[in-house]
Amino acid sequence: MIFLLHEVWGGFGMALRRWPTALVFAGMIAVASTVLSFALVDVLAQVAVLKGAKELRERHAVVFTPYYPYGMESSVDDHTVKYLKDLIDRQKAYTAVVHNMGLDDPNFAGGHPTLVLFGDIIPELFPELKICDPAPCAVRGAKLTGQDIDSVIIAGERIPIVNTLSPGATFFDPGVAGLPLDNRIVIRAPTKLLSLLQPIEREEALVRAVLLSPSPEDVDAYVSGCAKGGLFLIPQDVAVDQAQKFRQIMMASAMYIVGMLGFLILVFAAFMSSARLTFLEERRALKIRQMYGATPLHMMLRIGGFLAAVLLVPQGMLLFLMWMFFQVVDAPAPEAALWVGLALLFAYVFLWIFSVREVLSREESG
Amino acid sequence: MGVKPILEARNVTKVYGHGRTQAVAVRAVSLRILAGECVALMGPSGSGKSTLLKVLGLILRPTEGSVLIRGEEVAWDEFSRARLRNKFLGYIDQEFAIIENESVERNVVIPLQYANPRPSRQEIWARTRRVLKEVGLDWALKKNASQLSGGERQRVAIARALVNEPMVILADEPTAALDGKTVQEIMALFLAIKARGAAVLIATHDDRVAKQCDRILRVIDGHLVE
Repeated sequence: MIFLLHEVWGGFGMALRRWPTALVFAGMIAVASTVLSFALVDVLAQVAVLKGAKELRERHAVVFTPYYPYGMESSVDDHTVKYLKDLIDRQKAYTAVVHNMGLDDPNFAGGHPTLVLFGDIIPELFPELKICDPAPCAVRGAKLTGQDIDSVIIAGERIPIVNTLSPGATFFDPGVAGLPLDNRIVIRAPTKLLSLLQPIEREEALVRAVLLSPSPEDVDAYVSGCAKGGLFLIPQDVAVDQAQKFRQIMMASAMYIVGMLGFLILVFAAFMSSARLTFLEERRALKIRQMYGATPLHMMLRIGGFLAAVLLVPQGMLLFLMWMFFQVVDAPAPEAALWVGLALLFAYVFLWIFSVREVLSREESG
Repeated sequence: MGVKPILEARNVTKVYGHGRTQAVAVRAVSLRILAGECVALMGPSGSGKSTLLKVLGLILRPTEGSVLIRGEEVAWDEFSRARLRNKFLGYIDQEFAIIENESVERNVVIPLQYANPRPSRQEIWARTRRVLKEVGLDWALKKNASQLSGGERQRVAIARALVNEPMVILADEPTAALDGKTVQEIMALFLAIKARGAAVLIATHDDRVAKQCDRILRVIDGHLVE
C-alpha cells in the first residue's frame, strides 16, 4: 500500500517540479470549470422552472406585464380588485405578492421575506410544492426551521405557520421565473384580505394575477378595469410566450454551453499536449524507473498522480468551494458544480488511460 | 559437470518493425555469462550489441529464443520482468545514466523503492550511503545530479546499479565520452564488482576497456563471434 502512495506522491512531485506550467493549466481549467458551473446553474434553474410551468401552459394561463406611462401615477381600482377576488374564488385565477408585503412594518413575518398567495387553485397547479391546505395557513422555507415565529398577521388576521417546505422548493413566478423559497415564509391568505391590503400591496397583487383559461372578454375586462385606475397591463398567454421563451432559453443556453464546452475542450487539448511534452521530458526518469523494477502499475500510479495534481486536486477544491457557495447563496441548482466535477473526473480518467498507453508503448519500443 | 551460468541467452533473435520496415538486430545469439566474470561485447555501431544487452537486461522482449537467469527461463510478462530486473540485474545505460533534476541520493535509491520486500527507511539510507562511498561520491549525496561531471554521473549510475546487490551488471558504453583517467576509475569499479562475485557484461567500442575483461565477444551484423 505504501509503495502505491509513494508512486502517486512521485507523480505529484513531477507536477510540482513544473509548477509554472501546471499552475497555468490548472488556472485555465479552473476558469472554464467555474464559468461552466455558473452557466449550468442558470440553465438547470431555468429548465426546472419552465418545466414547472407546464400546468399553466396547459391551462392557457394569461399573465400581465405592467406599463407605467411617464408622468402618470398608478392607483388601484376597487372594482378591479373585487373582480379579481371573484375570479380567484371561482378558481379561474390566482395571484401573489412577493416584494411589497408589509413594507411599512419591518417586523412583518419576523423580518423574513414572504410570498403571499391568494387562490385555492394553487395546490392543484403546483402539487410538487406541497403547500399547506386549506387557507388561511402558512409554511416556512426549509432554512427557516427552528425559527420561533409561529404565525403571521395580515390586515389584522393571524395566519398560523403550520409546516415547513422541503429544501430547494421553488415557486414558478411568470415574472421572475424561479423564486427560491428556502428562506421565505409562504402564506396562503384568504381572498377577503385582498381588498384590505395596502395600495402598493394590492397593486402588486393585480400585476401578478394569473388568469386561468380566461375568455378574451375576461382579459379585456381585467385590463380595462386596471387601466381605469391608471395601472396599464399587457397580457401574455403563457402557452404561447413561455413556449417561445423556453425555446429561446434552451437555444441561448445550448449555445452558451456549447461555447464553454468548446473552450474546455481546447483547454484540455492544450493540457494534453503539454502533459505529453512533460512525459517526453520525464522519459529518462520513467525509463530509469522501469529499468530498475517499476511495473506498469507503478507507472500508471505515477502518471495518475501527476495528472491529479494538475487536473483534479485544485479544480476539485475549487468546485467544492463553489458548491458550498451555491448552497449559501441559495443558487437554484447548486448541483451544477458537482456535474462539472463529474465531467472533470471523466476527462481525468480519459487522459490517464491515454497517457499511460502513450508512455508505456513508447517505452516498449525502446 | 560445467559451472551453471548466471545469465544465458539461447538462440535469441530480435527483429524491429514489420514487413518492409523490418530490421533484424540480433540473429540467433546464444551465450553464457558466469558469476565473477567480466565479458566485453564489442562491435561496430549498429551491429546489435546494445539490442542484445537490452534483451539480456530484460528491457526488450526477444522475437525468438529465450533468456535464462540462474538456469530458469524468464517469463516475459511485464510484472515478472520488472521483478527479475530489480532482483538480479543492474543496468547502466549511457543515455539514461541519471535523472537530471533529482539529487544524487534520489537517483540512487530508485531500485530500493521497487524492491520486494522493501527495505526499511534506515536500511535504504545505509545502503545508499555505502554504495556512494564505494564509488567515491559520498560527499555528493544531496547534490543535484545535473551539477556533476560526466565521470561522476556515470559513477552515480553505477551506484544505482549496485544498490540492490545484483548478480549481473550490464553496462552499455559506460565509458563513452570520458577521459582516460576517468575510464580507468570506472573500470576499477567494475573490476571490484567482479571481484565480489557478480558478473559484468560491458558493451563497448573502447579496446582499453575490453582488454581488462576476461572475455571479448564480438557482434557483427547481429551475429555473435567469440
